[in-house]
Amino acid sequence: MNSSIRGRLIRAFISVAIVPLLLVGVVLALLSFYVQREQALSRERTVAISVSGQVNDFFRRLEGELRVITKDLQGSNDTNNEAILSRLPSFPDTFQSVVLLDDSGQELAHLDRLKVITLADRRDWSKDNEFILPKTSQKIYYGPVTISKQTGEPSITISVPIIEPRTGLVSQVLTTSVRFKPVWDLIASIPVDSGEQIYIVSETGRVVAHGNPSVTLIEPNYTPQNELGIYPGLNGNSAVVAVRPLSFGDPKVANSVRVFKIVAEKDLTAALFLAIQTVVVTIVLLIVALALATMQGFFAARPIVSPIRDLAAAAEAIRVKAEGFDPRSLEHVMSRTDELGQLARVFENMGSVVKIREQDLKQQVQQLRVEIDQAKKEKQVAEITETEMFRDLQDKAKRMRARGKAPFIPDTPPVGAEPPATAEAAPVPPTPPVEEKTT
Amino acid sequence: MRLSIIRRYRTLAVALLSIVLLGACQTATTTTKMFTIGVVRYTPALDLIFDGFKEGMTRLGYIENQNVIYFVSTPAGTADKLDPIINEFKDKKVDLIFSLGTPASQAAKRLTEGTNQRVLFQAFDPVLSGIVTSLSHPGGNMTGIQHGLSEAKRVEWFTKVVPNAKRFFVMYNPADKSASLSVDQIKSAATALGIQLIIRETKTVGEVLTAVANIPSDADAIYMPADGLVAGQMATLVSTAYARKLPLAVVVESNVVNGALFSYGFEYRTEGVQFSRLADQIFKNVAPGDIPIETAEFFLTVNLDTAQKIGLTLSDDLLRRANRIIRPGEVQQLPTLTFSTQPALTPAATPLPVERTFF
Repeated sequence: MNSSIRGRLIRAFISVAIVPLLLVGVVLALLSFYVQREQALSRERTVAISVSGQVNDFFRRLEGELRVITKDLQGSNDTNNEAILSRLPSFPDTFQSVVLLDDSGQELAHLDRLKVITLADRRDWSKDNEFILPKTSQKIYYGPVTISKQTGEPSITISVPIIEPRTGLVSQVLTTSVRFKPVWDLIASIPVDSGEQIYIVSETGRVVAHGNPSVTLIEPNYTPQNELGIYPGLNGNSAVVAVRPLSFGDPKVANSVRVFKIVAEKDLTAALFLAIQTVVVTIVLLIVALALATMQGFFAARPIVSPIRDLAAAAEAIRVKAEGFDPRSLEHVMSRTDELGQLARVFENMGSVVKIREQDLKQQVQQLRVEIDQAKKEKQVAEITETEMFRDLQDKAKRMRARGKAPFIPDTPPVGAEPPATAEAAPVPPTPPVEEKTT
Repeated sequence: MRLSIIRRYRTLAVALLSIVLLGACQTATTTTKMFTIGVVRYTPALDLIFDGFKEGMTRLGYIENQNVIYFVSTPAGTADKLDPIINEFKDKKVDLIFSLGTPASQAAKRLTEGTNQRVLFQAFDPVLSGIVTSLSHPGGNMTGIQHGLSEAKRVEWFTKVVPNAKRFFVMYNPADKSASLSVDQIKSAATALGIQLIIRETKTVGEVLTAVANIPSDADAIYMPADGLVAGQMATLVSTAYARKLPLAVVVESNVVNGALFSYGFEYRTEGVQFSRLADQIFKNVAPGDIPIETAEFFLTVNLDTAQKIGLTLSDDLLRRANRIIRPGEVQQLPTLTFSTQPALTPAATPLPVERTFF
């Protein structure tokens, strides 16, 4: 197969069919891979930026609500405080709790989404950052993320200082606990592709918001490696990951800045689906082309190889014995109108001539052999007739024939006499050579 | 010769076509799995959760009788009738048992613990009810939604809705864990807010009806805890509240729509949709034990029509803070709520193919 014409032809067909396809497939796959990777990175980066903007807007809106309500709280008496706080549009859906503190950190009013707060439940906040930092900096303070024991939901503290307009001093602090649940809903409302997910990671690596609440509630941790790239995502699988940092709080105030990372990721398999599909299609096409090329090679080589094989067989037959050559074995090749047909016709002619010549030669050889045998016989006869003994015998015969007219006197001794001592006494004529028979 | 080649090519073409067709058949035979869900109903009061669940499932692509079949039990009514229902679902190897109500969820826990039977449950407090030990990592074969965190706040809201009410009439079934846990929270909140409770234990429908007929004259309001047995007699409670001009506080919004004065708690349809998301994850082969328990969202709903009927004026501040206000003309017709005597299972509303019906 390896050195046969058929093998070479099939290999040639396969090469012609596969190599260009392979080259095109590899180029397309690589191109598709790079384009898709860039597109995926670009999309995830866009999604991360978009979500970052929406989350930022959400918290700014809450800040705005709190700033507005603080204006109503200025100068109000204790009995009105709770009523004013309860008007917060985002309470109780977003604000888990709202606490109004006086300038010494004591509670003036306390609303909670789940708990009944009585006077006995009020406490001193004077040593807590939620009070100290906004009071001293006169800036909005964002506290660390805390997890509710009752629900497992994360929340964050936002404390707003209430500044007395005449003195410019902080007279009260409004501290709130903000649920991330509305952020979950916000993320869930963003349409995502298959294999894509968006989530927010706190500065401690805790996932605090995800479109699927189950992911957040199971308390996963994740630290993005860098802002954009392909590396293990939240599930541990390779993913196209884009990270957008989002910070809250005033960087001039120590320990009051909270940095969240908005992560948009897409599973690598899903992100590079088209590239993978291109590779798969190329492989399938290669296999199909390989099969077709093999078959095509087989069928195309057959009309070329088969006559050559017949010619080779005829030549081999002639080589062994020209008589064995049967011109009919080339009839179907000779019927062709192409070069092989012409070759077969010439070959058949040559073969027939060789065959006839061989037959003639054989007859001539046979004739020569007969002649040689005849000469040999004559020579042997001559050799016999020319010997001394033959002449003696001839003489004796003559004498005997002459004596035939006289009474017979035998030369042999009578019965009971001794036989001649040597063979010379009774020479045996040589046996004529057996004619060699040829088959 | 030529014919022979044509024949060969024809054979080749047929072979290739067969391969293509086989591939197509392979794709076509990747049929959609038919999921089966057995719904265990403790009380018909929770049926709206199932409606919301079906709605959510449809949104997620689970179309009834196309790729999901619901087998809905008749309401058990009492805890002792739950076991045969759950066992039947277990025997039929449904893909998911959906247990509504704490007693049903406790029974499901008891009967399926240690098995591969996946259970989605609704419970007042799944940790205190002994259904799971952790909200974030429930483990085992169950996950679900809790809704028992609003009771104390509801008491507080009720004092704002009816500021003059100081004596609340409360009925509950002590055999129902959710009811007893609910009453514990109510007691605690009432103590903190200076409210006096008039408590009656009612273990049967008859006892509920008797208690409703004998609400003390000094009761200022009727406070209904999270109790399926009592909730099943909502029509009687509402008519009595109207007749006695008593404010009626309930757990869920649907009962406010049906005539109660106010609710602060979960909403059936919303919770049902929330359940569908968990079921979807379970059907996508996430182990229930790996899905954290979620908490139902709470809503404040008031019924202005009822307030007018009982001669109560609700403050503008309260109305501004309500998530939903039922205005006159929006009151729906109350359904006839009855309990079956036999815990037989009935198929879902849409008739099912005979071979899939095992009731």
